[in-house]
Amino acid sequence: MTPDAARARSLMTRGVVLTVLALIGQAAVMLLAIQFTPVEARQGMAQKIFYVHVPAAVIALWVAVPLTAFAGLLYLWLHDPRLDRFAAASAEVSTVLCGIVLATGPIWGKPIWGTWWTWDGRLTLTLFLFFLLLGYHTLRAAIRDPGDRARFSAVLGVMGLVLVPFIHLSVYLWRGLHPQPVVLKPSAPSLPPEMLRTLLSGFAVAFLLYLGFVTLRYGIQLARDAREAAHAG
Amino acid sequence: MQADTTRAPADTVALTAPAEVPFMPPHNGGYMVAAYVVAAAVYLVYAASLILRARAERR
Amino acid sequence: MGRALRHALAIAGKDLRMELRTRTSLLSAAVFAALVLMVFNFARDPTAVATVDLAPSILWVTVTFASVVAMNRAFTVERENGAFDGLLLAPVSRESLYLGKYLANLAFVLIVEAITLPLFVLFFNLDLGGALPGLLLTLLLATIGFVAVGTVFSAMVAKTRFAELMLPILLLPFMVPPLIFAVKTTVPLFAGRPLSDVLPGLRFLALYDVAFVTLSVLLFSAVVDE
Repeated sequence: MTPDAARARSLMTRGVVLTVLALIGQAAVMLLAIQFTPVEARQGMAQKIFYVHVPAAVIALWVAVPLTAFAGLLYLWLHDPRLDRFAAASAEVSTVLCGIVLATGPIWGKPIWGTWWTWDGRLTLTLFLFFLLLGYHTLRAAIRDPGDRARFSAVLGVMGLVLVPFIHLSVYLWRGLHPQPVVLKPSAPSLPPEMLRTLLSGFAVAFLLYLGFVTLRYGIQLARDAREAAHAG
Repeated sequence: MQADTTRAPADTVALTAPAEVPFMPPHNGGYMVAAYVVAAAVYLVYAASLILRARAERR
Repeated sequence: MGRALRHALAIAGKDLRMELRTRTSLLSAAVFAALVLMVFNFARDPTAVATVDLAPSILWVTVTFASVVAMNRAFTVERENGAFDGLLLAPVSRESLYLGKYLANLAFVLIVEAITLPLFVLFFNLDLGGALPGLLLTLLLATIGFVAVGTVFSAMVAKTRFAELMLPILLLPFMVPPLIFAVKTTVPLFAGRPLSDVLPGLRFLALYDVAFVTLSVLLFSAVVDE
């Protein structure tokens, strides 16, 4: 077995352990939210969607997506295949997290805003990122050559990073034309301690999920690359 | 247009209950259950797909 | 600097000459734009919505799709008989190469738009009046930006399978911010407001142009050099 293949095995084992722990943690956070966190007076039980939605959104938008783009930027400079493997892994997990945000958001929006979907700034931005990520995967899937794949997806990642402020600016200005639904801000200025505790556990678990998924995905890619290298050589 | 429920115009009667009646939160637990089930399903399916892919690489 | 520009113009000139000789892609892109306009005409209820309310959307949706179709051509043509490898070996800098392809693409998309605009006015019985200079400026500023991105992406997708489908998937998210501002600028212009009212939108388009033309020039060598 090559050193890479051995390393891939140990990464995959570590990734499985982390992922299973994180999934148990996610179940615990849900239980904590349902059973041991007070019900918000104006939004009712639906407010508890917040404890799953917000951590996924924050980890996706502030950790997973930026890291994907920066890994691409660094790849263009250093040409290290590890950076490309990480970018691919992080992009895939970002897509899953954005999927969680886009699925739970409307379920919260229906009872609270009175509508499943609204072209609210943050929602629109998340949808854009989701489409950019889908494009990223489509592009990767369509390229055979590993070098081309890494460079092209890095270019797309960097372009996407520059696009985000423009999307932000334009969707915020654009929605000025439209009536806004009644927005009950889910983040009250000061959350009661029980709510804060649940939310912080949610963040910890979402980060652990990201870590576990990325480790596992990275290990799979490394194993695949090692196998292809063995075939070629 | 969505109605602005936070402020009532001057010539309307407030329909909210007087302060001494306890305010009941809306009953919308079903939405929470739905969101949790969807989120759990997405995480579980993705984790399963990764674990299966890892197993295929290990053989 | 002068030489780099000369090289860029030579490459752009080559592309345009090739295009003008065959005229196939130019013609098909223009016919495509006309067909989209026609589809729009039949996809609306003329008694329910006034044309002038719908006009900015019709114009920009048509321009968006016709531009994507037009940009697909830039690099697929080069791949056909390994012409691109020759171009890469030529003693020109990557920046000149990019600028050349970019200018050709820009000219190409602008020609398609120049064919689309009169058809649009004709089909929807519009009286542009004083809105024309502002509209042309908006079209130009919006096009400069997204063609820059489109040129980089079309070089990438030319190496993939399903290139014709891949370009819109990658490019459309990048076209939406300029599209939003172009529409925001076109609506007041069609309502007869002066150019000074739409300066913020035009400024945004210019900012987008500067950002993405610069970025594209910088990133292009990463696309073509292994």
